[in-house]
Amino acid sequence: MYEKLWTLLPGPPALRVALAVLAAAAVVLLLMTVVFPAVETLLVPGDVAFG
Amino acid sequence: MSEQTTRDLRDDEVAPLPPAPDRTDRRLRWAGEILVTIGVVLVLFVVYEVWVTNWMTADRQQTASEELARSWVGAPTAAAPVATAAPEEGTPTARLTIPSLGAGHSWVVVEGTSQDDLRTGPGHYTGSAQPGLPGNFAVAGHRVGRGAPFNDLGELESCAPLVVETAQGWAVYRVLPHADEAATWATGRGRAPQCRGLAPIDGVPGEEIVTPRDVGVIAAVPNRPGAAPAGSLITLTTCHPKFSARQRLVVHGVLDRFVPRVPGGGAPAELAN
Repeated sequence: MYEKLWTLLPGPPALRVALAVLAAAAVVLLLMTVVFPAVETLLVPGDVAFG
Repeated sequence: MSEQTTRDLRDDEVAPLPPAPDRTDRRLRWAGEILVTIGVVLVLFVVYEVWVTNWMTADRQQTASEELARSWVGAPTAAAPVATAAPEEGTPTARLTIPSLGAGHSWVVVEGTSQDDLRTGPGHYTGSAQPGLPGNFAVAGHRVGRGAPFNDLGELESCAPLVVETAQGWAVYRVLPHADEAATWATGRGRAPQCRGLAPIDGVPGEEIVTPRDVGVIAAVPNRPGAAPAGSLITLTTCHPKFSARQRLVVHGVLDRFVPRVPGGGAPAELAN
């Protein structure tokens, strides 16, 4: 899977590494700002409060 | 090893390619990579819950603090706490400071205890008393993540001050005697200088651990739902044990005094350290 993704990246190895790092950062940012907050809303509500 | 694999290659020879992985090898590799990816995402989720939400809450607290300061400009002063209109959910309502948990342990309290409210900081249970007024000023807060405002709630000793600042002044509460101290309070810890004037309240310990269904702890008189309030109490609730929502850690306090915000007057001595 990752080997195939690597072959999709264009340019020399240095450029590929830079693009891979950018792509990984973008995925982490997406997880932290969109996916995880959405997942949180599906968890048990009111986990510290009563009622 | 055979002679063929160990001898040096001639200049015109090409190294033999390793055998191409068969279909099973490829599937195993894909499965392994997917499992590793799932593991990394789970680790990232833990990082998000425990640390990243702290940064988000710090940002929200900053905004709430500025909003609270703006709302206090020009607010009428009073010698004693007076009831105000119930604030809208999510609105910053007061500032809670717990000096014994360290310098800077000060949080803007917002109205409401929904998931979204508690992302900003501690939340005031809607319908419970306002700070300093008769009844029970009840506040919920996270213990892990989202700033973890009540992470160290279990370390609060009896008599520890809990200061709630509003537009009108500072309501200084003190943590009530713990259950194991009540019987010997008069001859034991009750004699400590910081505990002067504080007495146990029957049925309301300084700290208790209950199930999430024990909503009576935030009643006007804790653990006695329906009873008319005789004094001004504070109740702080959080999850227990850490990293679990199985139980609730509850801290109760009683109003020691109210320090009005008057020109030339200062904040309570408890905030000086």
